[in-house]
Amino acid sequence: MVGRRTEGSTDADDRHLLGRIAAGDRAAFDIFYHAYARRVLAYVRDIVHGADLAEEVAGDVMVAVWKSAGRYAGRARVLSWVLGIAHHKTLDALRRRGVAFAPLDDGMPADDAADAPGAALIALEERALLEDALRSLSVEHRAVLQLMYAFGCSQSEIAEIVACPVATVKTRVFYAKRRLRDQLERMHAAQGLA
Amino acid sequence: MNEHDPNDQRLRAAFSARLDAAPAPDAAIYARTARLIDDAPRAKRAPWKSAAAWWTALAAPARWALAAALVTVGGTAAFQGVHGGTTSGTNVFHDMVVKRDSLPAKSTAASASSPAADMRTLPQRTQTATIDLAVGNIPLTIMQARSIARRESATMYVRTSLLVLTMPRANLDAAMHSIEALGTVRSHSLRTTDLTASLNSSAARLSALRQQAAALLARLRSFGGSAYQLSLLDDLHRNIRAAEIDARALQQSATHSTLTVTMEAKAPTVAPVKGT
Repeated sequence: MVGRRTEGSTDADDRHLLGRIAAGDRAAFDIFYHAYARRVLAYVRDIVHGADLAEEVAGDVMVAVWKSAGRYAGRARVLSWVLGIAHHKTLDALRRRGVAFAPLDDGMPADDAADAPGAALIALEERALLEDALRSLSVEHRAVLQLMYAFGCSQSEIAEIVACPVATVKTRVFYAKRRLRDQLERMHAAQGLA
Repeated sequence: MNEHDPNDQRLRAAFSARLDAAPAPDAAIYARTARLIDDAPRAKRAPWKSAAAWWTALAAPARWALAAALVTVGGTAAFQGVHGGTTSGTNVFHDMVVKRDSLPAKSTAASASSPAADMRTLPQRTQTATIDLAVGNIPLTIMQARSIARRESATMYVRTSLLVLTMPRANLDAAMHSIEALGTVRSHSLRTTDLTASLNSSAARLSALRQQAAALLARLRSFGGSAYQLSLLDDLHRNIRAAEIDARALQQSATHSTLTVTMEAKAPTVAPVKGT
């Protein structure tokens, strides 16, 4: 688990590393790779649900980091910048394979009062259940949930990563949580019947 | 996300646990990435912000003087980047002036024996090695690795339990041998990549940029320069600088090897209980 052991770096460290990568420093890239590759792979794997494709895309993301480190403008966190590359590479890979992933409810307003995931989330410790429930969500819904809860990104960061307005992110998060709740409740009900 | 919402907190805990449990990428992904990196040309970069504002703030004579100086120094730096020289900028600048203005045109034989010609004809290779090492004591191993790095003239970066050593190519074998003696080798790999084509392409790009900058400066001298033309010159110098960084990085790759060592602590051995 090399990746995890080297992930404790600060954003300032990683900006410095990116500067060195931009100057062609392979050693800096190796450090960066070991710090980020695991997280990139985890993100991509959740979106594409296929180990081989995920590994291919994750590799492409790290190559893109090497090629375009000089374009990092310093506005976003390094993690957000890398996840942005990962997101677009993932969608490109899915498009090439003809996977439809646009959610249908982007334009609908979010109702804050209905934002509670509900009692079914009490059982979220059961990871297998969560995995199954997540699999039922659309690509974009999985992406926003993962960015928000696994990577701790703010809504404006998610908007930058997935290249859409903040209002759309709010709507996607709302519907993603509601679908996750509904799915978990269905699964719990099915378990209760069994 | 609402920090005080228990449902959000549960979601966050669940997703974080999933992320923590995600496996590390396979070594094959790193190998494929490294191959793509060494083979692919890099995109044009802008290592620093545009200097157009300070151009316009300068008086016209100062701009002319600076433009001329930039072309000369930019060309010099580019030359140094391609030739990978370790001499100071002043010396290289002097060499260039002598070669351009005082000496007759080089013969084919002279060209063939120049460092640039050597670079074009001799294959240039880079070596990348990785070692996955199980060790008893990681801090102690890092100290021992520092000693090896000093002995092999390597620069060493350390992050937690990852070591990256960059050293002259000739020292790689000895460094790998010494590092492998520090623990139990779980896996290792050594890859050689031919950089000749990349180096030639980098040299050609530098040469073309230098010629463009010189031609533009000549036009500016003849017809007077607008702010737009001066900004073009500024762009050219930025591109020369970026190409020079590329060339130096390639040169560094051609003369140096990288050894990446990932360490993992060995599981403590439990002594058998006496009498059983």
